[in-house]
Amino acid sequence: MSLSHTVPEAEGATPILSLSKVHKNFPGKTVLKSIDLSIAAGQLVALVGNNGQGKTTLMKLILGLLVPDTGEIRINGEIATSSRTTDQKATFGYLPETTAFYPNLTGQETLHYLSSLKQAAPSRINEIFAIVGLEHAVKYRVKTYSKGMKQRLGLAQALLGNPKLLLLDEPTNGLDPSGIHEFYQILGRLKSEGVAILMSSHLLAEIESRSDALALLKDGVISAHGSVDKLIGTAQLPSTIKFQKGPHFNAQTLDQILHQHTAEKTYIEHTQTFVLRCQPAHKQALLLALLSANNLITKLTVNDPGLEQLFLQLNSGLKIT
Amino acid sequence: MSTLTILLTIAQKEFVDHLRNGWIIAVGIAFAAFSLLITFAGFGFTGAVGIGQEQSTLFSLISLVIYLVPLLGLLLSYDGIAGEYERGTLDLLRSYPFKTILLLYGKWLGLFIVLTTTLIVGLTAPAAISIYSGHTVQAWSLLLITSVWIGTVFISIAIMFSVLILDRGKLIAIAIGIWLLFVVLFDLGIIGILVSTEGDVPVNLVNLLFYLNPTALYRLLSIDLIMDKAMIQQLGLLGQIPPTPALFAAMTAWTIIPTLIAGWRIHHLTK
Repeated sequence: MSLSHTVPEAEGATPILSLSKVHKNFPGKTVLKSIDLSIAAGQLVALVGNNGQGKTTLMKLILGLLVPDTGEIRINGEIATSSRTTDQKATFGYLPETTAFYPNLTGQETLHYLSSLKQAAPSRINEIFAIVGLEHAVKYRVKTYSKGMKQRLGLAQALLGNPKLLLLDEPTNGLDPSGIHEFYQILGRLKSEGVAILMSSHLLAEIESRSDALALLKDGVISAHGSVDKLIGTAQLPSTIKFQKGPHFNAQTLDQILHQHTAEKTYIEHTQTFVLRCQPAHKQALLLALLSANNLITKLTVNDPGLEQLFLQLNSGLKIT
Repeated sequence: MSTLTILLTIAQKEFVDHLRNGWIIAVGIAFAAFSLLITFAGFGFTGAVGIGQEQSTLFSLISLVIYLVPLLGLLLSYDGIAGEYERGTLDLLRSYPFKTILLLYGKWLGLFIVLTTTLIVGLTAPAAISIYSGHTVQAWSLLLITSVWIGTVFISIAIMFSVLILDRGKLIAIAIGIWLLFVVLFDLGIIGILVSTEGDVPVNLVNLLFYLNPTALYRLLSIDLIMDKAMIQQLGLLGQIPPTPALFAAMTAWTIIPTLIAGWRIHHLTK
């Protein structure tokens, strides 16, 4: 299935970050091919893709930890050379995928140390601890922290120095559900303050309602880029309607309704369930017809296409071009 | 923020880390125990017992330093940068607004302070006993300085490999290998050459070989600076020790060159 391709540019004046035709090879392997991406102030872009698709490499290229083979990276409109300037580095807040920190230092000492190196005002340390919900553990050594607490400490250090661009690599790993909720609240607040965020994650359900745009990395290229709603719309993924036979079920009537509303039917024998797939535009009329037929169906559930279906479809070869 | 402040911040963190994990206290006390044993027993090559055999005690301590301090320097530093890499903090710190090379030199400075403190802890007790018995402060000060220096050489070597390899598993094996090479095998190799050639080896060649081993340089430098003439003669080294400036220059090269290689490598980590 091939659909019209849209690569939306970040809106606003100069994007905080823009990548153009960025290409990266490792010995014997091309990791990223012709990557175009831009992020504006206050935008949260989610980077998704299976393991080994180049999400972390892309972040390292942006940070200057790796150098692209070709292509251009601009930070605040300024072309970034092979090494980042101190000013460019001061733009970033980075949370790596795994950071163990220093087990023998306390949380407070760790943040004071990193704050000094980041040349950030130490006066904000207590405030940042409160933001990430670690104020109760500042005096404990990091070796006593749980994985979630270390992740919060990682986020805290990323917030030091008022970064304009946050690069978060799998940031919710290890956080409990309430931690994830608080984490997105923090991100929401930062977005409203104009902070641009590029975040990689495997947790599609989390990203779906919270990201402004999605970039899906597959085989080294961004195979889809845009808002989740727009991508789902463009991909024309079907809605799914499930039900069981009602007291007055009639196969002929069902087939007539399906024919009228261009829907496909599958019957799952062991659960005695019908699964219908139709375009979202036809869903409402189809439901109305099914419910209007007297006791034709029972135990109805409706699922609209979501990011997970989109991700699976894109990974199985669907191209949005 | 100035470069110096960043260096000192990193060095201070390194020191606090090693103080907290018990390294300084544990190793310092162990070193003190060995030093005190030597001081009290006075079991230098003279075999004399009791305090008062300062020269033989110092000579024995030089041998102790040759065996222990390079190992301490290597074990202290082998994961200096590799540890940051495996912990995930190397990439994090490389993204921070300061030159990454300062991380290397800050670590080096911190480890130098840790080693110096450990050796002060280790040598204070025997030095105090010896000085209390009427011996010179100068000899003990020189022993401390040269001991710190040889430890620092091995800190530089370990840091260099730490940046080059970035794998703690391999690095611990390399650290032990380096210690074996310089402390044990090198001397055996020279003895082997001398035996197999029945001593028919030019003195200059033997001296040249000494420059290839920092522990051999340390031994010669310490004997040159600390021992009195009678002791040097007794050791059969009178007129055999290369000029002091040459020893200083070689030790300086062994300290600086590995650090420069490490600096070059950390600067090119992005490639």
